Amino acid sequence: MKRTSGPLGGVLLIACSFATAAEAHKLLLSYWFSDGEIIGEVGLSNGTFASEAPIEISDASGALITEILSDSDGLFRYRPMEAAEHRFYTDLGGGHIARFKVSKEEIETGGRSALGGRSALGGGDGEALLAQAGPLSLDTSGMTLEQRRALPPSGSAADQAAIKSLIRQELTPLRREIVALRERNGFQSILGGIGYIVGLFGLAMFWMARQLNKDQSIKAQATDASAAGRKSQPNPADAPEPKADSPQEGSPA
Amino acid sequence: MHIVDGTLSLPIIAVGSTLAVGGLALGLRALDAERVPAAAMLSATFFVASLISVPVGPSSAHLIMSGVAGLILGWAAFPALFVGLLLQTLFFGYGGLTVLGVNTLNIALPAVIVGLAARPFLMHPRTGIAMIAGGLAGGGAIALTAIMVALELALTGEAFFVSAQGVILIHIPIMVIEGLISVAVVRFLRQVKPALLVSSRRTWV
Repeated sequence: MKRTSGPLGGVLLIACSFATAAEAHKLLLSYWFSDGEIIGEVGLSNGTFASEAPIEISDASGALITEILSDSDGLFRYRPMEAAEHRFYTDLGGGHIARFKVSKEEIETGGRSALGGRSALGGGDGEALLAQAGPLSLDTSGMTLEQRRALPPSGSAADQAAIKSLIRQELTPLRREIVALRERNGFQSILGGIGYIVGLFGLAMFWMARQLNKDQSIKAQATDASAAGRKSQPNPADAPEPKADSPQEGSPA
Repeated sequence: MHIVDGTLSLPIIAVGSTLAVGGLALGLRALDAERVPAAAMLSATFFVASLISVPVGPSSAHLIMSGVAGLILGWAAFPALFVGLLLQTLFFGYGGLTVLGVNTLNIALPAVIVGLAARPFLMHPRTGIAMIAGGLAGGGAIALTAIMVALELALTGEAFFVSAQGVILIHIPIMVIEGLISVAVVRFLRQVKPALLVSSRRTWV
């Protein structure tokens, strides 16, 4: 058995050595709300984002509303014209297909309900908090000169928008990191899967061995029985032979 | 190469799953005790090989290693690859449970076909012929799988036609790589463990 698996083990080892460096290539599509806009992100599970991916937007009946392209960061924006279910679908070719649905309620509430967007970024309670807080005193010590200049002077609506876009900008790399982390196939899952394979095929071996033992014991019983039968009375299989010979033997007599 | 949940229409899923169950039954009958360790090893190889991605243009494809499984296991490749696919779905999120049958069929049936076709040549007195047979089997399994996936996508709807063409193009480098791996495996096994390349009585149902 060991010799059987030896050469194949080599193949497996080679495969394993590549595994940590390699990534899957699952297509990911996520969305959130910002100022009544649906913002979506198309990416691959290795952390790269799909630019110029065609996004088809259709209504609940499947009729195409419009088609947009994602930008260089894999982001796309769409402002729903009416409060109705919207379906988003993208096909990057090669079977890389992803889709999601945004319900009527989500669009009506701008993602603020419990059913809201699947992201913590933008929309949600953050906007309400910002509105309550009014003029903000920002700690500008960590910012570059350009960023400080870009800040509007007071807590106006423009101010809020600037803060939001700044936060979004700053959090984008973090988001990517999270996506990449979530989709990474850790060493544990690889070992876990191999463990399952060993276990499952071990079970198969165990079951086959049991069947084999059963077969053998049945055979052994059968041969025992026939051996016992041979001792008690003449074997019926031997009987025809003397019969066939008997006329030849009998004729001269 | 894994088809994702929600891409295929129901009739295709039903037909694919039924055929996969049939293949699994044949495969389990063909799997004798002596080949179980080999089946486990090939199942694990298939499971891990999917993590090796090869960048192809803007997209990427991953290794499959089904051809080698078909060469060594024959029909028994069905259960081996099924187990690998099931675990890939559960651990890596590839494919999906509803399309597990279709994915099994897409990957295992080509493996069996190339295995059956190449088998008579693997122990050919001339190593070159055996290696060519092995290489064609390794690449051919991927080609057949890509064609099956493309057909299923195309049958599901007009919208998938572009996607279907993409499946075949993307997997051309994979065919070359796996063909070369199969050549190496056949050459290696001929020297080290030729018994694996000779069909045992029950391997072919």
